[in-house]
Amino acid sequence: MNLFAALNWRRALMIVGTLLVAFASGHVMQSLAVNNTPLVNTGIAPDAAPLLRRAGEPPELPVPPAATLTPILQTPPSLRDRVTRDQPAPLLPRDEARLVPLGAPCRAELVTTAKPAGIIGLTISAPCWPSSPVHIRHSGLNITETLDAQGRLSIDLPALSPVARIEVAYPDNTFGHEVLELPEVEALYRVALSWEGTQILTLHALELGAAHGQRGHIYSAHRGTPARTVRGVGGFLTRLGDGTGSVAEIYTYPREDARSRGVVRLSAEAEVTSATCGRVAEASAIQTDALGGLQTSEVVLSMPDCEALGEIVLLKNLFRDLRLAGR
Amino acid sequence: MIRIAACLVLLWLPATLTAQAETGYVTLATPDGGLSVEGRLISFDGEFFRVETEFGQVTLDAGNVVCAGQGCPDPDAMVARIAITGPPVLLRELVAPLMSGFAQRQGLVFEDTFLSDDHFQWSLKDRRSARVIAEIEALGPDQSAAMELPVELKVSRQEARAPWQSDVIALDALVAIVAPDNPIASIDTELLRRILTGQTVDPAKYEATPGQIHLPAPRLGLLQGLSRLGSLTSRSPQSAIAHGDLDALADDVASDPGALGLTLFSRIGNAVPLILSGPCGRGMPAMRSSIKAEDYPLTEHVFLHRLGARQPRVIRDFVAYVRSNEAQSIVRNTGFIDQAIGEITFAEQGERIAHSVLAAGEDDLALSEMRRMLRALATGARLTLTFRFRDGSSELDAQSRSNIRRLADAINDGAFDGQELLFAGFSDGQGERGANLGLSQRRARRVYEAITQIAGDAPVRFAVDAFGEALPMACDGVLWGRRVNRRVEVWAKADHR
Repeated sequence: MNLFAALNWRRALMIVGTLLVAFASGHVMQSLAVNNTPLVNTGIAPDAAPLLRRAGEPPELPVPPAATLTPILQTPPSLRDRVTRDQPAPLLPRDEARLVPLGAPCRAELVTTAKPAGIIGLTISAPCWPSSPVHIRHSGLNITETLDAQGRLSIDLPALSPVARIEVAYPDNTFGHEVLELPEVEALYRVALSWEGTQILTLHALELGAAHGQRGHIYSAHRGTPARTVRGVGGFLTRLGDGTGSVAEIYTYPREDARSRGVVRLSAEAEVTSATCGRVAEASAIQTDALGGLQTSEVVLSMPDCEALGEIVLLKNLFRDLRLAGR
Repeated sequence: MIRIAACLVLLWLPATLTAQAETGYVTLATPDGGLSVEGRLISFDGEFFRVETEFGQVTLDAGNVVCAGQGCPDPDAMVARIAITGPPVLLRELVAPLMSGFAQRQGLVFEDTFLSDDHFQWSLKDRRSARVIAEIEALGPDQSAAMELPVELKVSRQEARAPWQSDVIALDALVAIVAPDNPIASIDTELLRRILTGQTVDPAKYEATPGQIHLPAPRLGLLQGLSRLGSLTSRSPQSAIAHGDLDALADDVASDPGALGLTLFSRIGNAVPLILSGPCGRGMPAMRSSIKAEDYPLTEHVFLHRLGARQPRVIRDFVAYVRSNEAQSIVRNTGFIDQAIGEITFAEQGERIAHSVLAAGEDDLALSEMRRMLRALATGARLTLTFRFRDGSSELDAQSRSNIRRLADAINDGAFDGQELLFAGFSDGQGERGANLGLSQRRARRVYEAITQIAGDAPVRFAVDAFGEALPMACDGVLWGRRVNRRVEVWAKADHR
């Protein structure tokens, strides 16, 4: 999360820089112009003024994502997600020199598609960053993955919101954004647990009275499949992140269960091992709140001392159990 | 400096309210110097100073005094620090969502830190400035005993005595549960009472006797609620399993086809609630509408108790929010039962109306009374809010007294503008029909008077009618059935005048 704050700040500076140049060149062109028709894009100018004024102040103005998103949304789809928007070529000439071996420019491409069960098919192609880490962010979820030797990545990300905003941070601190509509998400319960580094907490769902180890016990070792949810007969767990940074477990269950009524019990478990005893387990738990928004809970759990090796800390109250229709 | 004149509010707080002192000494005086108090400042929430003086703790209205001394707070830096205690399930599943809704309504951000299954830290921050408005420790009973924080709010299933002030924030109910694959759909309340209190059951009298019995642990304080079914012995059946965790209780019952359990409606889990039936065969299912209308005999309440002293503003605002309709829609989404006034259409009441026709007498008077009642009710819808009375009297019970305010508020808010509200009195079937008609008339009149006293100016047409024992809901042969039958229903219909 801190990473993103830092990135936003850098980005803010970059925008300020861009606007400065735009302003300056505008002025020059304006004075050269025969008539006084302003050549500066007047759509930019009002935004530029406050940014310029704030430039000397201490870094408290990370540009809110929403503010930067708006103009991107208004551009035609073909121009959406242009990483280069954040990194204009004239400003950073060294990037012009960065070409992939075949001579194409260094450009990262983020493509998202809507898949069944409210899943975002997310593909990144960034040939200039083979085997490099990328950070994916969506509705409070953080996921770190590593691009393959060709700079590619393809993952299935369960959306937490019917209008899903996905943000990808590349190794050079540039970003890619996408906004994807997945109306199907309204018909799903979705909860998530994400953390950084070593996993201590695990997400468990006991569907409609299932006991531990039974078929309806869905967790990282028995994840179920999206097909269960599509058919309305159960849920599935998705685990994302390759372990080099942020990892997330996301559990999905259909709101309209085809079979029956009842509850899905949700819990987080933490085993006391030599690696976890006496430590503080930190994680973010995300669940829909009573008004339909997303509520993130920060977990700060003191693990028992090492004398309790082998015990399991069961957190029953972190997530609200899912009550199916009719209840 | 905070100025102003007028009267000085002095409030002595209970000794348990020893807050952590984190500020220095102050002198609080009325502007004319007529009264001054010196002491160590405990807290300031923007409206009230709390000061530890040589006389004990004192709360002063900031509007009436001037603060002098090094310890005087920066009005912009105040943070309300509150502790709330209660069963973690209530804190997590009911209070936290309400707090989150309150925050959204007030332009605040609700942040939740989860420290353990019975210790949470909540904060309310200003959405724009990110300034912390309140920090709230939410503690289960064990944690609260360990932390020795001044507790000003409690969420509880039990009533509290003064100086605590209480609001009912949600409804719940005691329900008998069985596994989904258990064929039993209803249970006689006398059988239930005998089974759950360890008394012998005559196998000849009842066709089905249950296997394993699961009860809430006595410390949860839920078993007393059964006394509404009749007197209880103090002992539990020896073979019963007592559960401190009601979710585990429901899981055990749901997985054992022979088991019978007693739990709360909000914690049914994967089990199935039974219809409670009486000796006449008439039964009452545990459903949202029947619990809300208190037609179901074992309705329970969830209370928000607050200390009967001056509260930080944010607490008072929260308590006011909890009473709002918006808050009740949050309650509805949490698995508890809300108190928002709903409507039950005439068509949805076909079963009980059929029952009443079948139970009516054969004489012409009974028939004409029945016709009169159906004519009065058929074009309307019954409100879920119902008024009930103490045995044999026209005195409202506790929940019904708070229903007076709830209905009057709704009327004053315009919820029934242009409609007719009919207060329809009913009695149980004990005693002579004419006397019952008179009693039900008096009860309806009593409710009408209480409502119109508060909301009589609203553009609503009020009417009073009574039908005696004509429309029983439960069996008159048992105490709880008579209590359910003694009622004033409220029916809303279009005003065709």
